[in-house]
Order: sequence, then structure tokens, then C-alpha cells
Amino acid sequence: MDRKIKILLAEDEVLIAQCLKMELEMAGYNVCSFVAKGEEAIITAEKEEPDILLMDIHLSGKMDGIEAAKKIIEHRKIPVIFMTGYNEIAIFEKASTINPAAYLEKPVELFELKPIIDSIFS
Amino acid sequence: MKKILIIDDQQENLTAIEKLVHNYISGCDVHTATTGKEGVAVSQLEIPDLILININLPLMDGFEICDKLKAIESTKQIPIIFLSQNKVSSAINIKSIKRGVNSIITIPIDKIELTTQIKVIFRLQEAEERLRQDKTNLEKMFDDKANELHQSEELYRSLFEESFNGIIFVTKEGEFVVCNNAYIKITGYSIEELSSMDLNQITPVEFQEWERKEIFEKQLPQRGHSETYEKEYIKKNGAIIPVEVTSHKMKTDSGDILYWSLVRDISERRKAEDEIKLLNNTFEDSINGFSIIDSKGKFVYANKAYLQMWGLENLNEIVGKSSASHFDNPLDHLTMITKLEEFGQYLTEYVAKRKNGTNFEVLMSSHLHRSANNDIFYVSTSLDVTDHRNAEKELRRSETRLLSLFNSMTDIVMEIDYSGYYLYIAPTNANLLFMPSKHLLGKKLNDIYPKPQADKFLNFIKECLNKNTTGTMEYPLVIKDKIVWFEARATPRTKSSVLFIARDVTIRKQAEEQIKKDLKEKSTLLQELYHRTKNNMQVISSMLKMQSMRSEDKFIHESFKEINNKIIAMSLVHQKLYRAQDLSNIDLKEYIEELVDLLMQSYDIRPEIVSLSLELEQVFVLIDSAVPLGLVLNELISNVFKHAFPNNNGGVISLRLYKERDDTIHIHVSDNGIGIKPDVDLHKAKNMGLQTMFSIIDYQLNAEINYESKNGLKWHLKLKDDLHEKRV
Repeated sequence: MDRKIKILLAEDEVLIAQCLKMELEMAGYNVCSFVAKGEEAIITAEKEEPDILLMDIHLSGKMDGIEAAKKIIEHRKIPVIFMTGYNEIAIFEKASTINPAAYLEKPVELFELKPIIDSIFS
Repeated sequence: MKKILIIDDQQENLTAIEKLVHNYISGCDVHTATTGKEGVAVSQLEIPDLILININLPLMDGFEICDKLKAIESTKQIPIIFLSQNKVSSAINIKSIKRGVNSIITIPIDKIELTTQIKVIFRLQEAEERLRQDKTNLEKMFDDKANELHQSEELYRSLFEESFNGIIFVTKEGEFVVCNNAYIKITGYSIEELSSMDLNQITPVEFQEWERKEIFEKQLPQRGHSETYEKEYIKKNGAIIPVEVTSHKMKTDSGDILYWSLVRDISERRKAEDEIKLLNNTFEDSINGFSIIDSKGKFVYANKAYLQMWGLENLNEIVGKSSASHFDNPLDHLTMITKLEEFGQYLTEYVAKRKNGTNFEVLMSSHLHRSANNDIFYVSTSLDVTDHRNAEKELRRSETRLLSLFNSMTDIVMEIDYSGYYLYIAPTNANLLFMPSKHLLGKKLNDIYPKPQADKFLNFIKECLNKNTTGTMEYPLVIKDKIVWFEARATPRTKSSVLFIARDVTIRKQAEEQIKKDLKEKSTLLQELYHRTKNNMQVISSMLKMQSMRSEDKFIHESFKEINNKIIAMSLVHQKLYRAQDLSNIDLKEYIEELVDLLMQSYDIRPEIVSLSLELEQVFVLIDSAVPLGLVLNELISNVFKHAFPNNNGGVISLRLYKERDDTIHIHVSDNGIGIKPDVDLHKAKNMGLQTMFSIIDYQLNAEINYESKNGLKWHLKLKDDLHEKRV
């Protein structure tokens, strides 16, 4: 891809979000924004039209990351990478229903993300 | 009235003779005939007693007439006197006599000759008549007598033949003479066979001597008859039967002595006798007391068992004595006699008194018996039921105990059979019966509960019965609009039923639920805690990273990486705890595998350059040890990646983990890199990382560490994971 890959980051822990944004941008990606709520993610996705979603499953607010992602890709089919701190089969199964590009367990390191993103857009 | 017929053609003869007869012969009629033909005809008609015929009749002479008369059946016996005109020659005499003519008288008739002859003939006829009469009478008498004899002979014959008893006639020597059918039946031999036999052939040897001496040689000759004696016969088929014999002596007409005997087959009687004996013995030997008293209540008979029950030695002790003394309460005795007299039978239980004065309980059944000569007896069967009654009392006592036990229980106690029938519901104070007892008894589980619940109970009961063990189950029921939890035990009581005891455990169940809930909550909270810790560590890591990224300083970058790795090492422990849902231990094998992986990525080690050799057993450590141990491992492994293979040299890093029998955990971290200079003592190194590591090992972990620098650096860590108590 010529231009930078646009990432929409959804993460309710601000410091982690800030750090990730910094890392990703240093790695050459464009993090258009980060949101803490699922509902916000949907609105922002419509507005910003990112290339890829980087979703924490546990978000503040009523909607969880999986539902938000579902809504977003109904609109625009884009790859989703889920992040989760919870190790539960039920959540994994729920997440699998929308066929994410990756399902990573936190803490998520750049050296994990980069190869995945690159392989999606190569 | 006599009749005479004269056949003469001369009237004067007829008249003269007629006159003669009338005058000199009384009671005699005269008939006449003038020709022979007439005379024959009249003779046939009148059948005279005498016929006088004139020889010299024309047409038919006297001889012809005589022949004619003799030829006729009715007249041939009539005496004939010829009358002759002429002197009678001897030839004519002979001729006449040959014809049966009585005499010839010449005419003129001499009245005296004629009358005399007539009288003689008449007298003779009378005499003949009398004789005939006598003969007839005698014949009749003889017939009567013969009949009588015949009748009595018939009688004797039938007596002989038809007698049920065998009758046998033998000679003095014992040879068979004659016998009747009954005898044949008794012996089985035929008459022909018997006729050539003698008594000894059908008498068993043991009787022969005695019979001969006593009966044949003593009693019969002396008395003419014998006593009735018993002996045996050997039947033709070899069977031996008992017989009863009475013998008699008799003399025949010819003076011979015959013995005849009445023989009776007494096999049936014997059988009956034996049965009576058996019956007697049965009574005598019966284990039931058996006694007979007379109408006055005095003992007539008592069997062994009765005597034993009352402590008596001998029947003589009580025979003739009143049975009143056998009753503890004399009223009982009186009642018995009264009732027996009134109803003829009586069943009672009473307290009896033994000879030695001790008491016992008797169950007695009596009935009236009338003997052949109308005497009244009371026959009783008595049973000692003392033990029985005592057992009953004991039973009642234990029943009472049981009832009061039940009364003090609040559990539900029931007996249910394999089909689910409520057989018994104990009267406990259970206020939690699904339905009142009376609605349950006789019904099945399927009648009371909906099918799924009833089936659950039934299967539980069936399993207990099949395995013949006690089983427990818990189940909830809705009683009075509340959910009540029961814990039930079922124990097989018989092959087909169980004792089912249920207890209200709602409170316990609720407590259990609460505890479970609390535990779950605690566990969830703990997990949350680990998650949060992990999260927080990531926050810290992020903060440090951002700070590091703001600087261009390499040292800062390096420092950050090192700190971050340490944080990763610690965070990994919490991650493992959270993931395994184990709140106390982590799997060191898994931990090391992931830590190495993460560090390799962190230090950007390419697997083609540095290869991994992992020999890790599954070993668990407590979390208190896991975190410091993680830091130690982080230090050791990071150092390999940082220092062992400079200038892109390749090599192998090898890690070994195992546990010894004494529970010591061994960890080897080795490389085949450049190692360290021989004069360097790492323990004294100023490197902070190493110093921290040594301190952790010495003070925080119950461990020892050594190293060897030979073909690279080889660390050996020994750890005993017993410093801390498992907390959760």
C-alpha cells in the first residue's frame, strides 16, 4: 500500500492506547483515532473509514468490541484484529463468528502486531 | 260200587247170574251184553270191575273177546271169568290162563263157586287198591323227604360255597379233601392243585410244629374244636398273609375223622391294627401334649409330652385324679368343664401349674368324645406357649420403644418396594411428607409424583436393590409452596423393598449454595485481580515505553527494554495464573517456553542464528516463588541473548527443567557461546541485574545457584518450593 495503513484503535485503558498509538505510528502506520466505547468506535469508523480495526474486546459502555466490530464490518468489510485480556472460550467463540484476522492476548506487543498487519496488506 | 259185566247171548244165564249177584253180593251193579262187540263197547264205557264172558258165543267167542279186551288199554286189566257150557278141557284151561283169564266156571253155574270167585276177585281188587294207595302215599312221602333233603343240601352247599370265610376239609394227616371258593381265593391255588397238596405246603415253617402239636394233636382230638388262632399262609404267588383259623373235628358216616376249618384272611384287619398302633404311637410320641379326662374331670390318659410339660414322671401319678390341680386358677378349670359340657368344644389359653408349683402358659384345644357305650370323655391337645407369649411381650416392648423413637424423629422413614408402592410409613414427626401418610399407603410413587420425578425415585430404589447397597440422593420438592431440599438414604430391607429415610437439608443446601457462590465469587474476584494486575503491568509498560520512545538516547532505549522484559516476565506469571484458573500454582514448563519465546522476540533473535534446546518436565511452583523465579530466569536467558553470541555468531541455548525425588527443582540454563573470562567471579560482579538475581536467589527463594564456564556458560539453579504455604 502506498499510503500509510489507517488503523482504528479501540482500547478502554488510555495509557495502553496512547502507547500503542505511539508505537504503531513509529512503525509507520496511521492511527486515526482511538476510542474507548463500542458505540464511539462505530461512529468513528464511519467518519474515518479506517483500513483495519484493532479492537479490544472489553470496552467501557454497554457494547463489547465484538458487537461493535460486527456493526462496522456490516457497513464496510475491513479486517479486524481483536485484543483481549480475558481468556475465555465463550468470548473466543463469539469473536470467531466474525472471522477476525487475528485474536491476540494482551499484553499485545508491536513485534506481534507488525507481522500480522503487514501480511494482511502485503 | 262194584260193577260186573256179563257177556252172554243166553238170557237165562244173564238172569240167573244177575239174581245171584243181587242176592249174594252187596254193592254191585250188573251190566249185560249179548254180543262180544257189545260187550267190548260196554266195557270201554263202564270199565267194570269184572267181566263174565261166555266162551261159546257165536260170532265172537270168548277168546276173541278176551283178546280184544286185553288189547284195549282201559280194559286190559279187568279180571275175566269165562263161562263154559261144556266141561273144560285142560287145553282150554291152559289157553285161558295164557290169555290172562282168571278162571272158568261151567254152566250150570254153581252159585257158591261163582259168588266165591267174585268175592275173591273183589277182595283181591280191594287189596290191590289199598296197596296201590299205600304205594302212592309212600311215594309221596319219599318225594317230600327227598325234597327236604335236597333243600337242606342246597342250603349247606350255598353256605359252603358262598361263605366269605374259607372253609377247608382236611384229613387227620392234613391232606386236602374239599374246600370252598373263598378258600381258593385266599390261597391262590386251584381246586385241582389243592387236591394233591397238604396243609404243610401252605403253612410257613414256623407255624407247622405248633399247629400240629397244639391244634391237631391236642385241642381237636380232646375238645372236638379248637380255639381261634392266628397263623400264616403262603399263597401260590409266594406272598405271606396272616389268617385266623377255627377248626372242628367231624366224623364221616364211614367213621373217618375229618377236620374242617374256617379260615379268614386277616390282612386287612392286621393293617387296621397296625394303623391303630401307629396312631397310638403318634399320640404317645407327639410333641403336643395330649390328654383325655372323663366327664368328672379325672385323668384317663396323658401322653409323654403332656407329662413332660407338667413335670410328671409317670401316667400313674395322675390317672384317676382330677385335672383341676393342673390349673393355676381353679376357675379356669371350672370354666373349661362347663364350656365343654355346653358346647362340646373349647379353645383357651390359661396359666398352668406344674407338679413343682411353677407356672407356664398353655394353649389348649378340647372337644367332647362319646365312647361306644355312651361314656363322655374330653380330649385335649395342649401347647406350651410361654416362650411364645414372652416373645410377644418382648416384641410389644420393642415396638413401643420403636414407636417412641419414631415419635422423636422428624425424618421421613418409609418402606417402598421396587414397583414404587408405599409399604409402610413410620409414625415419625415429619411435617414434611409430600402428602399425609394415609394418602400414600397402598399407592405407588407414580400415583403421587409426576413421571420424571417418580422415575428418578424408582431408578434410585432399583439401583439400591440391584447392587444391594445403601444409596443416597438429594432432591428438591415443592411443599406448601416452598422448595424443600431432601437428602435421602435407601437401604435394601428385603429383596424387593428398601427402607427410605429422608431428611430436610434445605438449610444445609442453602448454606452449600451460599458457600459455592462465595467461592465462585472469590475465584472470580481473584481472577479479576490477576487480570487487573496484568493490565496494570501493561499500563506501566506502556508508560515506560512511551517515555523511552520520546528519547533518542540508546541507553534509555536499552534500559527500557530491560525493564520491560522484567515486567513481561512478571506479567507472564499472572497471565498463566489467570489462564490456568489455578489460583496458586503455575506450570513452570509452559512458563519457560513462553518466556523464552517472548525474550527471543524482544531481543529480535532469529531462530536460524540461535537455536533452542528445551528439555522441560512438567513442574509446578507456587506463585510466591513464580514471580521471583521468573525474574531470575529472565536475567539468565536475557544475558544469553545479550552476551553469549556476539557478532551474529550462532549457537544453542539449552534449558532443562526437572524435579528430583526429594522435590528439589533443578533448572539448567546453558549456552555454547563465548562464556566468561576465567578470572571473573560473577558473584562479585557489579552488574545490577546479576546482583539482584543473586539476592533474589539467596533471600527470596529457597534456592542455590552455580555456574560453570566451559564451552559457554552453564548455570544450575536448585530450588525447593516449600517456603510458602499454599494460600488459596
